[in-house]
Amino acid sequence: MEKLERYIYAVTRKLPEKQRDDIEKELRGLIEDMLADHAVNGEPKVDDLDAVLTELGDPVELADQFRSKKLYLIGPDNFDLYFFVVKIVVAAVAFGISLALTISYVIDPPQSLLEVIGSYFSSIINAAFQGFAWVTVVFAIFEYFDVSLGKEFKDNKWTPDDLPQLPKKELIIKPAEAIVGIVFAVIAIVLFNTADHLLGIYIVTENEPSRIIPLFNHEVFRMMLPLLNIMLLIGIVKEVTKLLIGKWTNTLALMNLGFNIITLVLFIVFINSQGLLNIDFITYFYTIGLVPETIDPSALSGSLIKGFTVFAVIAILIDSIVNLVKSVKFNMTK
Amino acid sequence: MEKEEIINGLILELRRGAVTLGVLSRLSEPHYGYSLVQILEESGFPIEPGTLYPLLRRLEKQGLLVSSWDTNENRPRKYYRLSELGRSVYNRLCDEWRSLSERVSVLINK
Repeated sequence: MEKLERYIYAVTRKLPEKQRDDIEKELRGLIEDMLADHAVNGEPKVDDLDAVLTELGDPVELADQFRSKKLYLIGPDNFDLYFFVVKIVVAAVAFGISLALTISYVIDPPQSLLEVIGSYFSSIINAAFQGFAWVTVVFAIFEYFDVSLGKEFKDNKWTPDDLPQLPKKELIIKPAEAIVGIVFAVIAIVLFNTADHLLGIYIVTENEPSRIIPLFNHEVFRMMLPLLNIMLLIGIVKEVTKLLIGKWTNTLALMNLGFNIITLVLFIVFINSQGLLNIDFITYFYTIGLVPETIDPSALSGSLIKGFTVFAVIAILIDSIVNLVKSVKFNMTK
Repeated sequence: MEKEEIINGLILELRRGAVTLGVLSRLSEPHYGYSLVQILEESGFPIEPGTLYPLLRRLEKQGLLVSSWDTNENRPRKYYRLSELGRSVYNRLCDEWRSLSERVSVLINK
């Protein structure tokens, strides 16, 4: 009777916990009934059990029937979107790494070019697999919790009036626009996480080797790095939302506004962190005579930070307003 | 071979709704799964246990059937019967079936 247990296990193991016991009991009863039927006289034999199990068929198919849906890692509802996102992520990662490595090669040429090419391919393959794996994991989680992406929620009955307008060209979001945004965010993440010392003023003089005065104090920057990463991830989420919605709707404009506010707050916290700006960077302004000695360095650093902040506020304001205007225009065409 | 496959697929589609109707028709009285298999087979309407058991669960989940475990016999058995909702749904389905089969008969006999 070991096969009986194995069969029941094979059917029930992938079923939801809640139903498992009940189905197991019922299935056991069924098989025993069928066995009793087969062995009209006396004890059922092994052959009888085989015959009964063959009649019941493949346990995987039976389990599918009980579940009334097939198991997918990523189901047909989400697959198109999944494939699309994988392509973008892999391309962005490859591009970002190429750029980062090219820059670091130009700045600081290592001994052997062969080594660079080798490490280039291994990092690209490595990172592409990571990107692929993470996207897959996220989509698999969506699948597990039965989240269907890309299908718009509908509350009311469809009427022909609900048909989407043929949008004017400028009101459709061009995927390229969003993809460029994602690529830049990925590049920025790579840059900030691996090479913050490259951000700064490049001093090229004829006699000495060129050098960089980093903009940020490395230790403080590393400490505040998670903030920057969150900001950039929000940026990516923002662009992906644009791709998903595809049109300048009100919802999109509001979400955009929300993302922008969060980003701005994070940026202000980031830029105001104590000692973020590199001292050498501040003093450089004095050495080239751009700032008179009479101004206190801490005051200078304060006004630089103010400058950055104002710049960020204006940029985000423009982005939010442009988005809102586009959504108003989009609604007028309805 | 391919033709047979097409035919089998279409027959399966045709039978799908009828199977539900056949099952509901026997459940004014409580029955457990395997007794239903036998009853339906005797009535010339065989249905595989692998189809019937999941179907019974689906119908129960939809509220058309109610079930109870009988543990008095030598093996515990889960008995299903029509609920109030199931009865009225069944009556509606019967009307629908009759008019459908009438209309299809008219169509295919011409």
